[in-house]
Amino acid sequence: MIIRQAKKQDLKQIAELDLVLAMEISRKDFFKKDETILKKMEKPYLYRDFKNKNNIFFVAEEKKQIIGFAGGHIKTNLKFFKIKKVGFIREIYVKPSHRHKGLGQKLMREIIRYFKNKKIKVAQLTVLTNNQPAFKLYQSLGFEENRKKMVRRI
Amino acid sequence: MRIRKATVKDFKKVKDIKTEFMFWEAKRDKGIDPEKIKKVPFVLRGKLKNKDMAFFLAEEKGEVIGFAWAEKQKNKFFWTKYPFKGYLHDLYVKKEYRKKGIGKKLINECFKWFKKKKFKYWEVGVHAWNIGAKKLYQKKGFEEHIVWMRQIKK
Repeated sequence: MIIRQAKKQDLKQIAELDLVLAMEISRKDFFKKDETILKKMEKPYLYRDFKNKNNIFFVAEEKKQIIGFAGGHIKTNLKFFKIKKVGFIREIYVKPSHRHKGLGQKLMREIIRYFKNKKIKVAQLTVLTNNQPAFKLYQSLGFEENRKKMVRRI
Repeated sequence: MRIRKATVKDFKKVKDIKTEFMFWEAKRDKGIDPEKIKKVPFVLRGKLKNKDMAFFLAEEKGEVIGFAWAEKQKNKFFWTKYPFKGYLHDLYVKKEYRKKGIGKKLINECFKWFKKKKFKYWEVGVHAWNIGAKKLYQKKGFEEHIVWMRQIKK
């Protein structure tokens, strides 16, 4: 099992996993996304994101199969923030059959190391409140709660 | 004490209370640079004219003692069930006037304005350290949805 930066040839496999991730999140979320649109738009968006130089993708590969991936984005903050650039971890997914083996942690560590090499000291991410496994993973890596989004249905 | 919707003529009042609020935030959120705050409120003039935004001022004997800033925001394309949402940007009441129900009244005015625009839900962001705000929103029927997490490498 190796973890490496994604190449163009990996995009097809990443797209499949990314779609599964998007659907999983949408189902956990009480605001459901339109799945027909997700299925249609997910691939072009991923391919476009891959070309963006502010984005980075890492994959976990075993026997030529991509079993997990993580995507990060370097964001420039608004002028009144002290910290100019922030590393945003946009997505992380490990195939269910390969979970509980520490792959999530390894992928996160790679992205954070990538940010560190770019002199970015702050990593951020968002997580659904009801997503306990993800929340615990991030806590174990030293992530702390910063802000919360609250919603009210009318 | 009365609450009213601000117009462009109230620019200076809105700018002053918004600046006070940003300094209050900067004291508690180490990430904000107080030096740069002075420039930000000048974009407010345009926002006061914007029909998708509303500023509500709480006034006592002509003096502004609190404000709320609400916005009608567009959701991304895949939220077809929820094309728009109401977003509560800011809510602030001067220290001496807290615990008097003014925050609740400001929120109610925002609710009324939102209802006119027919949203299905609305959102508010709250700092992890702001327990008072979180309790207030919970009382007004908000629930936690997403958490922003941050890791700072020293």
